[in-house]
Amino acid sequence: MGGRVKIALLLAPALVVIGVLFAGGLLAALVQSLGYLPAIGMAEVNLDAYREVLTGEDFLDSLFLTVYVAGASTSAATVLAVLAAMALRRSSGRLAALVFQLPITIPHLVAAVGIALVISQTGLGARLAVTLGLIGEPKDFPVLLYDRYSIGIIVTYVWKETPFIALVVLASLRGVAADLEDVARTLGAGSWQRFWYVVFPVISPGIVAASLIVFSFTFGAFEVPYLLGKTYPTILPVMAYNEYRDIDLSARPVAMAINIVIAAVTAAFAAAYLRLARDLGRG
Amino acid sequence: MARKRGNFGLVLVAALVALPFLPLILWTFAGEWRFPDLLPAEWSLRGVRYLLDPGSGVLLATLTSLLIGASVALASVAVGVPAGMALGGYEWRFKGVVIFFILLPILVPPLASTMGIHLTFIRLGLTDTVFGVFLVHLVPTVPYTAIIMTSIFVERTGELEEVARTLGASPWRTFVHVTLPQIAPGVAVAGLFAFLISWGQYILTLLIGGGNIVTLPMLLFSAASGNDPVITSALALAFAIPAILALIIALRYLKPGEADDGRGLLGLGKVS
Amino acid sequence: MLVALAATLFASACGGAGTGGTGSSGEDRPFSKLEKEARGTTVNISMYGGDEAINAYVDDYVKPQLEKKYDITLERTPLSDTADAVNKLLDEKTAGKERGTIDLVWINGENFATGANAGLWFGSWAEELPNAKYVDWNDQSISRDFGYPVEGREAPWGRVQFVMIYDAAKVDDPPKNTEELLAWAGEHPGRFAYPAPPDFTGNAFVEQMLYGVTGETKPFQNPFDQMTFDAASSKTYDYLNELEPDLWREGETYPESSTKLDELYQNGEVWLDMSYNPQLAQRQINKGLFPESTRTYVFENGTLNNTHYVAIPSNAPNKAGAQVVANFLESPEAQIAKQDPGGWGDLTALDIEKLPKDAKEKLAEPQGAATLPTAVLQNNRLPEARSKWLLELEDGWQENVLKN
Repeated sequence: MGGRVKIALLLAPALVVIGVLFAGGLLAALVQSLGYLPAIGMAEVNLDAYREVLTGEDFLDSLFLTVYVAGASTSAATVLAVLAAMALRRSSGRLAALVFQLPITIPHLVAAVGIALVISQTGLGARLAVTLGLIGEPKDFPVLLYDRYSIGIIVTYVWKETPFIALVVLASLRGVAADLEDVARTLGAGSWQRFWYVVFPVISPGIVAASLIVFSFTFGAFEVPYLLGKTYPTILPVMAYNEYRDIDLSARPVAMAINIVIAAVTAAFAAAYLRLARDLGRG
Repeated sequence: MARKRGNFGLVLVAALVALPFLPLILWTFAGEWRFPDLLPAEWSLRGVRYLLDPGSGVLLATLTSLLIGASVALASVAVGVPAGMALGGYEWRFKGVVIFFILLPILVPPLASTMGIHLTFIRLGLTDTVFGVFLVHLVPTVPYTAIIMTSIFVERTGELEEVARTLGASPWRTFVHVTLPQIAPGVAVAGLFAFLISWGQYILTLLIGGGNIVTLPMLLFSAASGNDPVITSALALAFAIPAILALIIALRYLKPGEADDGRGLLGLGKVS
Repeated sequence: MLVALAATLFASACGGAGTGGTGSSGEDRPFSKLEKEARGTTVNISMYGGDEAINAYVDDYVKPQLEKKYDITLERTPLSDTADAVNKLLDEKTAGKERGTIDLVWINGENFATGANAGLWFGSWAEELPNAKYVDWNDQSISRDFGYPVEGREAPWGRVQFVMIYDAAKVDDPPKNTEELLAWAGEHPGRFAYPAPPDFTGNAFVEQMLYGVTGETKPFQNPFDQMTFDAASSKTYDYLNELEPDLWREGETYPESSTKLDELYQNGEVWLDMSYNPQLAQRQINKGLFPESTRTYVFENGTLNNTHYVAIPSNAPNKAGAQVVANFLESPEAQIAKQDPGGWGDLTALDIEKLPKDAKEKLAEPQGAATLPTAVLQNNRLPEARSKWLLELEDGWQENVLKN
């Protein structure tokens, strides 16, 4: 059997699944975003939806919020992950692995619900504050949910994504970085110098790669902001969904246009991630 | 000194990880719990009873989630293993492009493509069916199984297979008796993650299932939008438990070194 | 292969009845035939699922009764918004799906009107039901759904009237009109909130403010007129914007549903609440959720009242079963159970005068200290505006108040 044919056959099932269900879906979304929905009488291809979306205040507010939430979550998670990995690298492997892997398996909705019950104005945190005499009533506790800074959403993402990045960093730290660090220590470098000049450069590609994934994911994620987010502005995926649910079917192209924008941005990040991964020569 | 700092760090991190579970556990067993009490004034089994009551639909939803999750896991592994073999075991020209294509659904939200394909699914009669939901769950899971299996196959040199072939075994026998046992842990991990991804899906199930296919996350979301923290917390725990069980099984079955090798499993974090 | 299987089933189900629905319409068959046909079948009802008491009424009373009396299995599909069901039916129609999954939809107002305009409803069947004899079809608020002619396409299920709820222990003199509300909110910042449209109750509040601020209701009973709307709505939005800084969270965010607002009231975060169900307050007191000092009142110029219904989609797979269920929902016994403030507490849609004596007695007077007497409710009724006014009002609220 020819090598090429064999490879093609091996790949076929996966390519068909992704090709039909995913690429096909995006293609359909693209077509609909151009205003082509013959079933409801829209047969002219046009850029109206894109014009409305890209120049609309709603879209820009939503885009800004989405970038902010993704950016803040990713940065916070990355910093915390590096700190956590650095602090735990000498701990028992199994325990640290368990601690980090637990949040990865817990569904986002569970994390969102649990965290909401901690940080809401009548949650555990507020009750503790009352017990300690810090506040008197729910409204004295800071507003962390359904708020303009999306704190609840960011905290949930940080809880979920920090362990993921930490695992990546930890793997790096225990590998090459550890050896290099020993060499540096023998040569007399101080702990800050060791970190900045030896450890950090080695682990930073992994950090960047993991951060790209986290940013991309939080940019396009739906469930947590849908549950914990403000009424307005809302993030892009929720905005797309709201447009999609509009009884007025002429809002469909707008919903699809937003989807295409989300797909374009996240695909760009995917490309960047792949370029980075390839440069590192990983298999 | 470093050991002490490490242990303190571990305790701190563990506490933060456990934090969201605290109110979930307390509320599940709470009877009356008014603000600002730190602990419920009365305990009750209302939450647990709700989970077990056939009328609440929780048992049915759990079964539905399990059924869909298991089928998705099987199917996406069946698709991912050959893909991983092709991508990890051979060098060929357009590999980069194919990898990018397969990786896309991990980073580009499947919600976008699912909204696009929704009308087609209606036309084909796939909406409101378990099969339709199963199909749409394949989108986020197949890339994962493919990537995991790729990293498994990359690490293998194919020596054992060559030996088997030299001894006269057919390709299929070689695969079943030589390759499969070797890659079994990887397959298990891939299947596990596919299950967890499917288990955690909400919006895809809502969109294609049309509200008729009720899975556990749909009940949880509905409860979380309401005003009964007891029910919400009970559902949240019921939803989380299989995930935790899966983790424990994985850790028992696999050696810790393999499971947390972040290098080979890069991209593994977006499970749920 | 699965699709082929489904297609075969579909084709065989159609039998000799021609296109999808005529075989099981109520138009040309006596009701007893429908009952017979419905035996052993499943009926799917799609309805708003955010209120546990309503869910319990359907799951714990209606469902077993239907099993017992008619051998019908009722499946309740919860919706977070009735518009989702309308959307689904629209999608199905667009995609040409002739046999859907929904048999009954709990609906009224703009959702019904949108569906009717798109030809989504099976009709007309509601006036032929046996229990339709207890309904006063001459009543404008029954034969017209938010001004839209019903024409037998939906069967009345219950009535609602908008009431304000307050905690008498904290509030001495609840605000009875728009000026007083503004003043009250100013004196008690953060103690008042209303759910964000398009929540049903939120819509009602904004509509009440429209009536209150303009001092009129008549123009909104007429067909939509852009000029009148622009003038009236800008006054309303100005008022709501003036109110905003004194709302809960300073109006930065709004509770997304009436259930969420109830939660705020329960927690003591806000001191006023509102509901379309005049018995809700008493019901929540009975459950130990609202403080015992909770009471209700109506605005001095009256409050909105409307009827809610069940409709059958034209692509419903079990129209016979749907009609049998609708008939049961309208039966005096089911209506009595529904009005019980220990359960749902929803007022009856039946005309008291047409009922037999014992049913009349049970339904005439709602129970409980927190519920207003029927006479007060009846004397303070305001009609709902026509759907188009409300749709524009909601959209405008998003643009002019929410985004400010």
